[in-house]
Amino acid sequence: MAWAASNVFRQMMADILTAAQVYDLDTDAYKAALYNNTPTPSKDVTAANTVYNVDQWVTANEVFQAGQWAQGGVALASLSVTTPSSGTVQWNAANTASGGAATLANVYGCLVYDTTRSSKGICFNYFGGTTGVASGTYTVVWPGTGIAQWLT
Amino acid sequence: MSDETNGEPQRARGQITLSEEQLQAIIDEKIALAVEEERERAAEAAQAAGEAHVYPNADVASPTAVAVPAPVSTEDPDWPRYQAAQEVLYLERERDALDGELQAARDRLAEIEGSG
Repeated sequence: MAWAASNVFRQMMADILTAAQVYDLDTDAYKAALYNNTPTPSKDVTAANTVYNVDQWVTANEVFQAGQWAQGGVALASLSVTTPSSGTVQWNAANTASGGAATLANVYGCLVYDTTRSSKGICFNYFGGTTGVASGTYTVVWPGTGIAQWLT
Repeated sequence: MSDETNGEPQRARGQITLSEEQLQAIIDEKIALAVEEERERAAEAAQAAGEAHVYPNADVASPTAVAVPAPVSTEDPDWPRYQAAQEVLYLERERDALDGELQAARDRLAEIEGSG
């Protein structure tokens, strides 16, 4: 098993709806940590297993380079929550980039997690296959539909 | 079960007289209950037919990873300087992000202490 899709963790929604956990998607601090193809991400794990450096998200599976794409991930910038159309809520951020001299290989996806809330995961985003950069800038370009969106 | 004396209705033992409002409230409650039961029956039928929809639906699209080569080759004698400069830029950016996080944490603390 390995990466196959992008998903929001269901426990994140459950925790919000039961007030077990508050997330402030436009003011909390979030990071995107990169992973190789070892993790088998699941949207149905417990809250504890959405956390950075736990279960699938252990550092042994992480891809990073000191001073370029730090271990633990790069901070997301310009976070916003928008309602662009009927029944749609989107969570957006500026594209997330490494330093300009990064060498990263075998990157399959990222965990987006809230460093303000005990590093609990919000979602995991699959890049569709292996990606990387050799001596350059590695940028995660978030889709037009945002990091995640909720349809009602 | 009731009789009349001097034209006034007499309540038989155990009989309850309801006002119009009370009666209406009971009728409304019965109707609401019936509607809810019907809704549940319809939902069960739809689910059995595979027509059920669950909202909200969280959707995550896949981002694109873009790799842009550095303008300086690793073979270039200037590479170490370029690499060091890039590291400085990156760490400054991370420091700024941490500054924002620190300020947000301080604000939360002040808010909690202010409301306490």
